[in-house]
Amino acid sequence: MITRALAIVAVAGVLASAHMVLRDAPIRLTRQAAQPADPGQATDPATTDPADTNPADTPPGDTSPVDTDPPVTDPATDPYASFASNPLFDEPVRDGHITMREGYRLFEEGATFLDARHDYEYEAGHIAGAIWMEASRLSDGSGIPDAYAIDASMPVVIYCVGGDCDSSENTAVLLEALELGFEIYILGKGYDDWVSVGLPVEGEG
Amino acid sequence: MKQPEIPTHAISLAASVMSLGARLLLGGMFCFAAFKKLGDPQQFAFAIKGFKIIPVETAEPLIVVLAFVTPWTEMIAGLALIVGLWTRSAALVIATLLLAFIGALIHVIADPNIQASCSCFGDISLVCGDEVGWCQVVRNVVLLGLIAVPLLLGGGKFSIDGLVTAAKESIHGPALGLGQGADQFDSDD
Repeated sequence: MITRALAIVAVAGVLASAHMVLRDAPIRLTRQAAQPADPGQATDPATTDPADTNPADTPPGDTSPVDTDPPVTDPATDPYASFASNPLFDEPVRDGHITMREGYRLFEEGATFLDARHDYEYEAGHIAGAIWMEASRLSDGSGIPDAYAIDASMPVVIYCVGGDCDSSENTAVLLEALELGFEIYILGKGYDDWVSVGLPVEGEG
Repeated sequence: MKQPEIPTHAISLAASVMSLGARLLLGGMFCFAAFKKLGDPQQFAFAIKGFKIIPVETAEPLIVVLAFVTPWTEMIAGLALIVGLWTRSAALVIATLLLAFIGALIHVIADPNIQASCSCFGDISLVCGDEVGWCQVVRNVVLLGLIAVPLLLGGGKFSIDGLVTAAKESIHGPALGLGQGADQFDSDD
């Protein structure tokens, strides 16, 4: 019985090998392209320490948490003082991701926001103006026309539920594979955090 | 008082029907799950990565191989189960897969920092939602109970194994000690 069970697995292995060889697109799991520099450096030097969240300093796949304190902000000069009262706004995020403050700054500058969560989560509510771009829409091809329609001159910010969700990373991996020239950032905090800080949202919920 | 005897052919028929039901249900489910995964192996590879059992930084090729081999194994074992060819062996493969899936699900549930999608049936949620939880564990334990039927009883009369055994018996006579002889073919190894 075990011999035949192994034979079943062997046949599956042969078919899987053929499938892998014949498949057009390679499977991608990690980001290959160089990640963009800290979005805060050029636009708002007063508010954050670039060392906190500079994705360029981070090797791909490094998910270690940032061990520094949140940046110190001066309420008198901080344009986002009303949001900064919520600790989530400046809470450090893991390397390679951007903070809520940086995300909101890009939002105000007109960056395209992509929602990498499930469709029902997007429909229940999403960041204002965000496009639903779950990774499966890129892997099955249904979202590729939407990806080509994105303004490549503006940065792209991808978010999911936050924490250790991989959805944003997965969408970024497949977007980069399209080589559309986007400057891609991943929001370290999730949609619920965005809502709790009181930043703009839209949708049924 | 003497108990009425149940004819042995009736026992064999009941076992064959039970096995057929379990085979069609489980074989169909696994073929469907494999079909959905093979339609988008990129998503299944993401799902394996999301379980955070295999480190993507050091073992990315292993995740890619599993993203193809796992659904093809489900497909071949599922088809074998449906037609009743090497029934016990196919059931053993599926039982092993179910045990591995249960272990992976418990790993995710036990770590609150992991937010993973099951992707058990591709983009379809069957009985449970997409997010990993105890529902999927219970579902797989139930399936494990069902797979025990063909694993223990074999394919029965309504299977290729049964037909082959019946053909052998018609040539060589009934096998000693194995009664109705519908499921010995897969016991040969």
